[in-house]
Amino acid sequence: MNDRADIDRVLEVWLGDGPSRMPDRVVDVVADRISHQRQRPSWRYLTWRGNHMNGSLRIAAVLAAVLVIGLVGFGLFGLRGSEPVGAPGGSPTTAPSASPASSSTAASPTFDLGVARACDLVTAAELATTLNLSSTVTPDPNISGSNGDVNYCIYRAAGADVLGTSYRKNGGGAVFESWKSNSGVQPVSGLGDEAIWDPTQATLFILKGSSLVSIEGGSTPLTLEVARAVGTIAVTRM
Amino acid sequence: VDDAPHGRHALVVTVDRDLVEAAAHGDQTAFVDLVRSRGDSLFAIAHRILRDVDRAEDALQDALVIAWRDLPGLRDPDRFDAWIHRLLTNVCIAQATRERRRTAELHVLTLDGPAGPDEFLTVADRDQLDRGFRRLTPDERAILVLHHFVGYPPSEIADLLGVPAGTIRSRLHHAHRAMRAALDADARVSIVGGRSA
Repeated sequence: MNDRADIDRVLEVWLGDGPSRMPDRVVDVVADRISHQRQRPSWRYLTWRGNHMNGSLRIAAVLAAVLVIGLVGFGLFGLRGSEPVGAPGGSPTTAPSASPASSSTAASPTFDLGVARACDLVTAAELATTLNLSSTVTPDPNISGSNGDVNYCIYRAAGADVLGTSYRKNGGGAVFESWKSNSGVQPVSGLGDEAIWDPTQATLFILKGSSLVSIEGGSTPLTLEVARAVGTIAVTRM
Repeated sequence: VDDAPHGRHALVVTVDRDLVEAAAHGDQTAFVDLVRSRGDSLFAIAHRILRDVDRAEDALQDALVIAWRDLPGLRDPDRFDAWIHRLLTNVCIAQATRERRRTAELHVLTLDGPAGPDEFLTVADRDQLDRGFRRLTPDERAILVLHHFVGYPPSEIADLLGVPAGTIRSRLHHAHRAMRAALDADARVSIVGGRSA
């Protein structure tokens, strides 16, 4: 058995033996279990595409993305100069930045591009306080919607996702109505223009003007009470 | 260890994109159809890694429920099989690791069943292979199964498990050596002790 070909053949024959038919009950058990298991929304993942990017490739991709964003931002600044650009449909008095001090200088190219970051709605420190977390909370803003009209943020602590938010700066009304039509949805008062809680998804939706925010749990589903506390912070920055 | 595929590539069946996409969008019936079409091959893989029918069934169920939960995160439906093989392998490795901690080292092992129709291996060979296999780490077991049973080349196993290809080759080499040693030990016992097959 010292020959390489021999051990290959031995292992293939040996592994080839044994049961190759799934017990019938597995299908029933799995069907039952998934009927009680909510799927995670796709944005919760940075996706597994089957091919892992190695470290240097990943860094190169991030640098390239930063460069492209920088160039686009610079180009638009050049075209628009210092003229403030309000988001269509948005309130002209809205301070889009999480940092009120910076809003007067119109310094955030992100907002001048009309894109608001979900991570700016609630800071990591605010979330840690709200959720009463002792470990450090890290927001991950590097998640974008498939067509760029919505921005996501995932907050992580101690290696687990603790909360996810999405922020649709414009056109949120239609999306809100769509969620509102779900069965079992409950109205939530005192948040934005209108807010709903979807208990099936354990997600809070807040509409303010044409902007829509959703707040949902991470590894464990969120309660309405916690979602409302987070929403109360977020709504001031929508 | 070469990069050539081994084993049974038939375990990787044609992906039904429509079913995968429907399931990713919450269609439970589509997911159950996927389970039906993939269940046998997935169960076979789990059994080869865990060497136990009940534990293989548990691992398969857990992996399928995780797959349902995480399916919306799979961007490329054509990679469904590789993706679910990865999930299943990770569940099996986790279960084998727990089991290994519980039992430390197995001294008394039972055969999994009668020898197959192929007389290439004797009952004693299979027994020794089983012993050798159980002495491998869960990672090595999984790599051996993915290579020799599913037919993935080391480079693809590396992608699947998120481990450098060199590490996979190294573990595969170690696993081969261990399995060969198990058989050689048996041969020595047969010669010295006059043990019959």
